[in-house]
Amino acid sequence: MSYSPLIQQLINRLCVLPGVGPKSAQRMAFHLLQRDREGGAALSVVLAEAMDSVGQCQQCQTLSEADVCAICRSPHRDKGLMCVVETPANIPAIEQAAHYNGVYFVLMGHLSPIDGIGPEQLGLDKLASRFAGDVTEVILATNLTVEGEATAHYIAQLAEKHQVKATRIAHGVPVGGELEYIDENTLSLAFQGRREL
Amino acid sequence: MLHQKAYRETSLILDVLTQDYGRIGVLAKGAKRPKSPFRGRLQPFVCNLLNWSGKGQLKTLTAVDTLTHINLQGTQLYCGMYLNELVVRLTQPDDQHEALFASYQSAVLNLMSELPVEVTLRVFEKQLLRQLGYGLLLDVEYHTGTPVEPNLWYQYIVSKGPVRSQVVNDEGLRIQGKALMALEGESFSEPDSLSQCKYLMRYILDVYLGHEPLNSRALFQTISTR
Ligand SMILES: [Zn+2]
Repeated sequence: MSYSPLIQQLINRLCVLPGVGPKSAQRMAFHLLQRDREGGAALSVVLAEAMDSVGQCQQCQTLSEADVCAICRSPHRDKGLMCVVETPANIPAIEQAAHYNGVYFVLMGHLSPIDGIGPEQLGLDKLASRFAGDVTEVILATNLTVEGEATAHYIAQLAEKHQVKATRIAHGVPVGGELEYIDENTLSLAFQGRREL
Repeated sequence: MLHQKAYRETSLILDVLTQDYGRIGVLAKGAKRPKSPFRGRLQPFVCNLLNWSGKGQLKTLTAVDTLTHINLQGTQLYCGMYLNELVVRLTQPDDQHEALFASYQSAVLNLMSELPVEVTLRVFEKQLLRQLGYGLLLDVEYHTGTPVEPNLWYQYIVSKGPVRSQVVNDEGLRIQGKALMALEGESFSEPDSLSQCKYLMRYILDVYLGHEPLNSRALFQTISTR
């Protein structure tokens, strides 16, 4: 099937979105064109603006159009407590789930030597300078993958050198998880991380 | 399992060292979905029984059964990443190296044991080179064929082997006979021999790795110099 060039272009471009294939892109394009011109126009404006002005926070590296993001700027956040995460998307999740009042540091990835990502590529020298400043405690909330663990270990060593207390988020059986259905690796980690009752 | 990288939204492309097929690439469709049967089983180091289909460069994973769980911590973890990077950098996909799988497996298990990690790394490096066809001459002097003597010093030349020091001046790397013998026997009783072998293996591996250094090695260096 062929559409007019502009419609075809729109469909092609919509395919850059995660999880969007040609079929759903086509649905989206026709929805905007037929039913929601106003919404489509507003989307195009904000999309252009965001692509142009969103950069990274100078302090925590998260995505932000301000030089320093709202959390880093807030006088109500404890600047001595820092939580290290892999991606910006982890921040709202933690904000929602945990009573956390410290600041963040976003790595934008994890250590992965095979992929050529070392401490330098992750901006860990910047993190080290934060450790040398206000930070007294760091919570390592990197993923529970091999790379996430290696990254947490590396940062813990960095923290130790700067006399910053480091803790790692616990891993184990998910809430509501019946042991029978949990994969062996998760269970094996949960056993390693068992605690006294 | 050597490495995994994201493919599309929910899938993974795996780099796997197998017992009978060498290092292969496998696509694990939907592996990142919460209810995928593959989930949690495809992390590096884990030893799995895999079923796959397809004969091309990239196979498709059909079933996984975990045989050995590997949970490396701290320095062990860095060492494990170093092993994986070495294997990925030095082997070609689909090339078969008969004994490499066993060497790798025992290295990973040894990392979790009481054995000093340095010993595990040196032994694996030596075995890896042998299985790639770059086996090291360690027991006899290159020119004379006489057995290496513990207290003599040699110059190790990559394309040859140990050469008595008086013969050559600055070609190769200076190393003591007892260090060569320790590496040959895979048994290190003296810390000095172990440290000499570290420099020897680094010297030799650099020849085969070319210009691009091992990234995981940089990880150790940053840690130790901090
Ligand atoms: Zn910030």
